[in-house]
Amino acid sequence: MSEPIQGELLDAPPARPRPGESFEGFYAAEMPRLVALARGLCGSAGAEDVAQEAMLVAYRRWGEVGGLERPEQWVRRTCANLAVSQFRRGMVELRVRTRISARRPPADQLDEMSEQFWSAVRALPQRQAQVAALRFVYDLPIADIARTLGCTEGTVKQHLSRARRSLADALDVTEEEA
Amino acid sequence: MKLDELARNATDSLLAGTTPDTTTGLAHLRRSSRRRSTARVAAAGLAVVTVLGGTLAVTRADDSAPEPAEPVVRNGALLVTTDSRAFRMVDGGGALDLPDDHYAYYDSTFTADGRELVYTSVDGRVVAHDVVTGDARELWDCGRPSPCFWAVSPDAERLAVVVEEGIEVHTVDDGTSTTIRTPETPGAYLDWSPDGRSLLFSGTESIYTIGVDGSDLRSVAATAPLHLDFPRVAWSPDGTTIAFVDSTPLEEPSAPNDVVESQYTLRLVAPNGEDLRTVQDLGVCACLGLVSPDLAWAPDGSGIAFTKVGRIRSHGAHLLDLGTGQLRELSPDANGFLAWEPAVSD
Repeated sequence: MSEPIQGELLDAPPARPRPGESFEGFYAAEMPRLVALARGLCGSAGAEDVAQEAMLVAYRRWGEVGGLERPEQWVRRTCANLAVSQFRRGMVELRVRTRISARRPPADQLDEMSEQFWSAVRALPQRQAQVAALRFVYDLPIADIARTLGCTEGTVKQHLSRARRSLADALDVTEEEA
Repeated sequence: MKLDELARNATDSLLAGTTPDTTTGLAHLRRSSRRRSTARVAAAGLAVVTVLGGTLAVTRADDSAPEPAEPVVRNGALLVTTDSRAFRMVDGGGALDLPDDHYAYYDSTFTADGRELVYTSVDGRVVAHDVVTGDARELWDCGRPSPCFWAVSPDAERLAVVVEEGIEVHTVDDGTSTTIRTPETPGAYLDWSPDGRSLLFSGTESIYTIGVDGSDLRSVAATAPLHLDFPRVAWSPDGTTIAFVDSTPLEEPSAPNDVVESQYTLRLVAPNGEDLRTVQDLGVCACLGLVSPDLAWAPDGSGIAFTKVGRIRSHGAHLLDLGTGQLRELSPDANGFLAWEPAVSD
């Protein structure tokens, strides 16, 4: 996936509250890809809970988070950090089990190649996995990934480069950019 | 196949297979956010009706208007420490990644809504750490390098801090303070009543309760004379029982600051001083501070987690079920502080 040309529309425009947009609008727009991000980083089980937990914090702090220039970056970072922390996930799962009495229906199974791909992403070092997942799920440019994760563009490029190499090796595909 | 093509297909597959019900999710989210409201309402003076089968139902004292079903408090993650290392869950799940400035040698506690773990930083600040996001907010700066002794109110809006003349109560949002004068300088451990109206603290030979307005000072139970240690004290979630660690020296100290072997016990008493009883032997050691027994009420009030001590080594963390009297070992190597997260259901 190449860097977008300046002015070119991205396939997945960021969910951004328009003036006066409520949290509900933000939630509806952002949640599907947020769950996909969580699922890519921690697997199907608990992915929706992780995304929901990130949204719960955003909801409680909407007065502050909603006023950010890019609130979606805030919630994506929270979700990505939660997804890669085994301990935090454990606490979330425990908390969610007491909150929701009805079990969630299981997520649809991915096809074999897709499952292999995302398993390989999850096997990456945490930061590489987060960079890769943000890149693939949201088709974000380097600068946006850097702002989401709170690191430099150089760091993102390095992580992405290593991630691509590792994924290509693990999945036995060619790495060259499309 | 090229990586980008595979990635694109895998992402399309992931997105196609991920269709959360946002309407239901939003409804759950709104209900879940009432946990903080529940904690605040509890601090405003709810009457706890009953403990039912291991869960604690919190209802309003004024029942003049019909109310939706109230959230129920259950037991969330129980965290233990070993050798002052990071908190970790009793049933696995790795370690809680606390900030580097976490001062390992002092107690930490969850807020009543379970969202934050409040700890002391190495530079003497009291910090609330959001266990989901990792964000931190400062509740109070003790103003000196060594930690101050504190307890956060159930609504997380006030912080009680031990001072020479008694207890200072700081309001977190606006920084205002009031001082409650006590008959003696309180020991290291404080706790709030669940309704946020009273404070529990230890003295040299007694544990006390006092109203936050300074009224109604009460000596609840006599304790062994303090000997370089302070009894841990904790109010039960339903407000009906006070738990504390008592110690009985097994020998006379040869010097005023000498640490001697003591028999530690877990004792319970009603806030009016009645029904004092010993419920558990906590071991024998010449303990001091960090390695002396700790205790934590189960958020649903069904039991008490505690650590046991020994002459040579600590004896781990255990759970006493107050309903059945049964004991269960939680962690054989836990020897430091305990913190039990409340989990509030919809």
